[in-house]
Amino acid sequence: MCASETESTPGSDRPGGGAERADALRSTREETIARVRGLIDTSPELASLLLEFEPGDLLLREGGFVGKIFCIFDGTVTLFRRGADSERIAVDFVREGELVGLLSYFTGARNFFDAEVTQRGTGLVLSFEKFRSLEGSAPELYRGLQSLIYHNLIERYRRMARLHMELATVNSTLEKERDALRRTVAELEQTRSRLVEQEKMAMLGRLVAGLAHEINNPASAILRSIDYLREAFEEVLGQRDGKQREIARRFWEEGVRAQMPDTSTQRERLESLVRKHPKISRPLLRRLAVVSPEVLGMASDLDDRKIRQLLPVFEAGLSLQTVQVSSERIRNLVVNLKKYARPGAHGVSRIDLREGIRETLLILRGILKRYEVEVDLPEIPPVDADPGRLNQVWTNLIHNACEAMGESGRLRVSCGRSDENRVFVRVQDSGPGVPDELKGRIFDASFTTKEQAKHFGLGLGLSISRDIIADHAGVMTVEDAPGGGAVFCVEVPSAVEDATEGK
Amino acid sequence: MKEIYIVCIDDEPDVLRAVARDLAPLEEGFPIETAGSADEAKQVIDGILDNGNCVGLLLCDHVMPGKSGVRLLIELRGHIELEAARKVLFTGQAGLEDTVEAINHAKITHYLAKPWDKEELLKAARDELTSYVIATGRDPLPYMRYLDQTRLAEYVRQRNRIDTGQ
Repeated sequence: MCASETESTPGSDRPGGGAERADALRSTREETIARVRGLIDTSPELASLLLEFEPGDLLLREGGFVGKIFCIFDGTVTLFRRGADSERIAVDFVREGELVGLLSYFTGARNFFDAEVTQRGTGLVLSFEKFRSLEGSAPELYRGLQSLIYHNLIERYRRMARLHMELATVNSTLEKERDALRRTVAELEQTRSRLVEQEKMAMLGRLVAGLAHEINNPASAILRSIDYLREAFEEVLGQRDGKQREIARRFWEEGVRAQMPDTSTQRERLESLVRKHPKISRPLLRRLAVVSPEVLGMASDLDDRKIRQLLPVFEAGLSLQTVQVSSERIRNLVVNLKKYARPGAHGVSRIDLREGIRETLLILRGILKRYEVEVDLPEIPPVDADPGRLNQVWTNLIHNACEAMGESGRLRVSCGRSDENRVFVRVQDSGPGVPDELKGRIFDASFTTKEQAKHFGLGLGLSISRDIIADHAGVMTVEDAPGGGAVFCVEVPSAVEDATEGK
Repeated sequence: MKEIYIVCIDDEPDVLRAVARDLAPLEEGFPIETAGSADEAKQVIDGILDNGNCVGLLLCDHVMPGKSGVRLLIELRGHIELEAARKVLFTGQAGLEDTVEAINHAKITHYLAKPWDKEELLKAARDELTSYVIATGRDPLPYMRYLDQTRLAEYVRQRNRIDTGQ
């Protein structure tokens, strides 16, 4: 923005003279400079006004007032102004034939700049009175200097116009650069969060693999012990005498195998037991209400003592059943967790999409408990895909659906064939739905309806989900569900079947 | 005589059975009823009240299919007969919002986290039922052996002093 760089010789680019032009401007700047210098050189009195400048000389100080005009013949004076943080900024350069101090002379204002010599040279120094007195004492010099002043002012005006132009250009360039920068930052942010998510999933995978091993060992030990315990208990039961043995065995087997009746059935049985055995205490009968009437019927003339003998046998069996079912549940959960997180497994393989969806539903079981969940997963052709990454997408879609529904609602997860070459997965909720004006933006990297911190960590953004689907040559769309709510639909190409395969 | 019931609500039958078992030492004095869902719990409670008995303690899971435990407790606030009943939220999964709602709107009197400790559960049930017996002004003697004897004895002493004072 240094004006002197682009400074042109005013005379050279000026179109040919015009009669109406002011007298002072009739001659070119160079001629005027030469004339003024000539006048000074030939007059000893005027020559005394000449001064030599050394670099570092401060001619004017910003905010001061010296009452002098400097006309530079050679060398350079730089004009500085203090910026907002009081740093000195070079604003302009004054060179041959240009003047310093005009502003104060014409307006009486304090100096607008520091004027400091940055290249040694010579120039004329005139106090304001001296300058005014020249009109009478040295009219030719006075007119020459005036002409230089006009040239100077015109040149400054021109420079200002050029600066404005430059400023406008720079501004628009900066704006373009800023937009580009903004886009880059957004892309970087997206890449970063994608990397974080990937790392998170990888970390989860490692964690789960380690944990699964740790949990599997005790779970297997429990399952093994159940078998031994059962054998041992049956051995003990067998040692009773004949008639007792058979009844006890039936109570035991009922405990180990029978399904727990629901609470209302238990209540009905309890009521009839209370009526039938008014002498037996209610707490004892409530425990007995879990036993099926058939087995209960085997033991005739039930009394307190008999119940106290048989009930522990039944309840031992029931507890064993609970231990078995619960540890199997733990083992299944671990197996599913391992499959879901897929530690270290990357890359594409031929998969059945439904497996990943089922794993995800099981992992989210705790969250899904409060919703009505409908799962409709008919057989679909296999897909070439990265199962771990797709699981992130299912998790995201199902979790988002739950968030949208709040306390309760209806979730429907389904799949099918779109056509010969494509399969779809749809996640439908009964939440408020996605307003039309947001449908286009909802997949943007920066879009969110609530602070991300509230998410429990697996809900990566829809934009990343969409990118994952795009990596699988698929598309993700959102529509209104019939009867309210939103449907997110993922469509991916099915694997190209071998030509020899029948179906 | 009016019986004071304990009602346990949980959607997992195994959990429900285990809870009822842990509370067995109280059952001679306080009959236990169980329900597998919020709606069933309402029927059970209505049945108890219809038979002229009352509910002293509600022990309720939070996350259940259909209606949550907190929602059930809020709905039960309409029951004038249940106003004195002690309400324990028994859960492994309530978030902060649920808990705040449970305290502010469902008026729970105790919070128990799953997995639970048998002794802790029994103590909580004893404390709550003791409070119930005192608050409803019942004769505490039949319940002495099941509940907090120190508190009940203190209560009896206070009551006698007032009686003789009059």
